[in-house]
Amino acid sequence: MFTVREIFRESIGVLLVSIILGLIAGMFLRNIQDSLIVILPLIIMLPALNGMIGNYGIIVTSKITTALDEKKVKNIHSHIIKHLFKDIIPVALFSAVYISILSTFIAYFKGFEFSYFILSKIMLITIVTTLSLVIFIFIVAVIGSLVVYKKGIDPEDVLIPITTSIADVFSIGIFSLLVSLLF
Amino acid sequence: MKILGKRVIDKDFREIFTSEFISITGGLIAGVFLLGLANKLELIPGLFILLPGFLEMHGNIFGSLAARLGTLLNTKHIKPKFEHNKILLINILSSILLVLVVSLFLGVLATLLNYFIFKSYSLILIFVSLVAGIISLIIELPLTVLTTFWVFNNGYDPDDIMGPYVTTIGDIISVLSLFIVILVVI
Repeated sequence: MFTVREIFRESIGVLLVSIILGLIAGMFLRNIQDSLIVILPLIIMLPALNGMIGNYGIIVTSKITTALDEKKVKNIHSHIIKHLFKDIIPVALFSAVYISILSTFIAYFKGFEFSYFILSKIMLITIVTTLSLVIFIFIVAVIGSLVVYKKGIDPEDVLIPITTSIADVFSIGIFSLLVSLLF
Repeated sequence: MKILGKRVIDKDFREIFTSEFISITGGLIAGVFLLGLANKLELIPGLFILLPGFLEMHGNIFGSLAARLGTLLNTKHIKPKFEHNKILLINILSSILLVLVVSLFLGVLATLLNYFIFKSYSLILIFVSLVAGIISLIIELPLTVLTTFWVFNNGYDPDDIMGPYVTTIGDIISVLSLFIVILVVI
């Protein structure tokens, strides 16, 4: 059974690193703040896009930890891992399209002028950001969980902050890069 | 769901899809609040730097709490109840401690970055981070525990549902907490 001190000690280091990465993401955000304020769908979709990509790290890590605890996973070739990947990719693709359409729709009602050209650029940004990062986070979560579990550490305490931080920094990073290229 | 006798949509897919769908919708609600906050963010430039770390902190701490509780429930190490539940109490206390320490650290670091990079001295960022952290902690902690128990009691896997739920609720509550504190400060 874990104590408060053990949970704190296991979590704090990774959390502080993730906060620093979050601050780096904040710097990216500041660079495109003018575009964010003018192109309303971008600021509306930001928390959803950012959170959604981090969610996949939490889901993958949680499911693999449970499977490891139940002795159902031994290596990356496990059936459960392949099955999880096949479940996640279509959801990620649908989510990216859904975010683009709904944020543009909401922005329209906030006074933003709609055009199919802008919608297609927004969709391109979300699909590229989402798919590239979901695949990367899946790989990190799977390999990381297996390695950390073997060392007797709870993967959820370590991998969830790591994958969500990767999602935060890189989603805002790739998002900012694509926004500055396309707008 | 079966197509040509092959199962294409299973329980995991359905649960992940549903929770992500709800999560994104909630994230877009947070985005609408953020739109309202955008002009005020400009008034305190450091807040744009603080924002992703602040949102992330809650997802991380309460995401980990929900994941730990989910695993403990799934592996039958705890029961979904508050009475005589020492493991639950330990998890709650560690989450409180983590929020307080990390909020303070975030505020201090954002203040330093603001000072050294943008040449703007704004100690108020520490206050904003800490107080907004406490406000969201008061709301989010009971919500996370109660929802994990509810999800488990209703036959769903907390591992599939709680991650997206926690980050979504965390985003909305965090943006609102920041909004409240900034309104008081400005």
